[in-house]
Amino acid sequence: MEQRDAALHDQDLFDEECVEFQSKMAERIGAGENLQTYDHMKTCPRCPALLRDLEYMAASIKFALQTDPDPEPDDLVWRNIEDKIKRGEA
Amino acid sequence: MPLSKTSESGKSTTASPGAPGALSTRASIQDPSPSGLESDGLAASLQPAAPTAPAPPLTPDAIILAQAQAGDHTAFAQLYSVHKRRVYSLCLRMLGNVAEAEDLTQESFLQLHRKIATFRGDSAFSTWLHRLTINVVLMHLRRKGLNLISLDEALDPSPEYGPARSFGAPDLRLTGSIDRMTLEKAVENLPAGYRLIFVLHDIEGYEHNEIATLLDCSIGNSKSQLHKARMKLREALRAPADEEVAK
Repeated sequence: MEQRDAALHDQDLFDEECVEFQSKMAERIGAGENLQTYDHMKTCPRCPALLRDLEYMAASIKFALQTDPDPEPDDLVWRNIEDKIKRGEA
Repeated sequence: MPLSKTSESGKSTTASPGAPGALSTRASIQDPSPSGLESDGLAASLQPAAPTAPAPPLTPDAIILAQAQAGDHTAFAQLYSVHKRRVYSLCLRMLGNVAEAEDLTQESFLQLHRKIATFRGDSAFSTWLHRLTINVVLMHLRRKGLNLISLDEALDPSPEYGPARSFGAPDLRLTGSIDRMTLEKAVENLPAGYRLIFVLHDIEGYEHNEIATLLDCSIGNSKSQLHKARMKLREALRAPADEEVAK
């Protein structure tokens, strides 16, 4: 029981550290810092996983959106373009 | 769409020789004047011309482009037909709104019509048109009052992606089973500034320094905004997945 309580306590601390670390991620990335140099990134399994997850998500979205054909604009778009060209508004 | 077949005769390549914005591929068109005749006198001029490497033939796309540059409306219609999906899709992703995307697709092609003669072939035509479209969209957003210089929280005053909800384990189910429509919707629903950065970097493949130039912001700003955009998107994609799990 004591062991379990200790683990939960550690987990809480861990979570607090993660919350703190993640709240500064954008700012640190913007400042050009290498997040991997932070001690927290070396000991925490979740924050590095979060960054990997974001990269994976971005790559997956790009792949998914490029696999299917792009949507087509309404035919009216071309008719409007033609009209404007003919009226010399282009 | 009133499209008609365009001849591949290449006549338009000679229709506007030396015109401003002449297609770079025109450089490969053989000069009709015989080479070597300008050299030393008659004897030299009687020598057969030195063999020159045959100019590579113009591709059908380059011919259509050259014809459109020379003012051929049918060729311009063909350019529209070839590039409309790409341009519309880019507008749609950057704007997240069908009506605006159609308006700006129209505006992009009207601008293309005005500027096509200035295309010099320094980059691929599709790249040039892509950049023109992005500029049209950015100008539109600036006119609407979107401050692209300060992309930070001003665009999203309550970024409640909150770390407390984000520090969980990697969530690889996020994208594997999510269809394109859901992904498109999630991107569309991002706040405007986040969406711009995400689309330009993660979908269109622009580097942070290029985005910084396009949006007139710092490279650091672009990087931090991208991180926030991804976090926001992750949250949006997790929500339906979480609902599924709850069922």
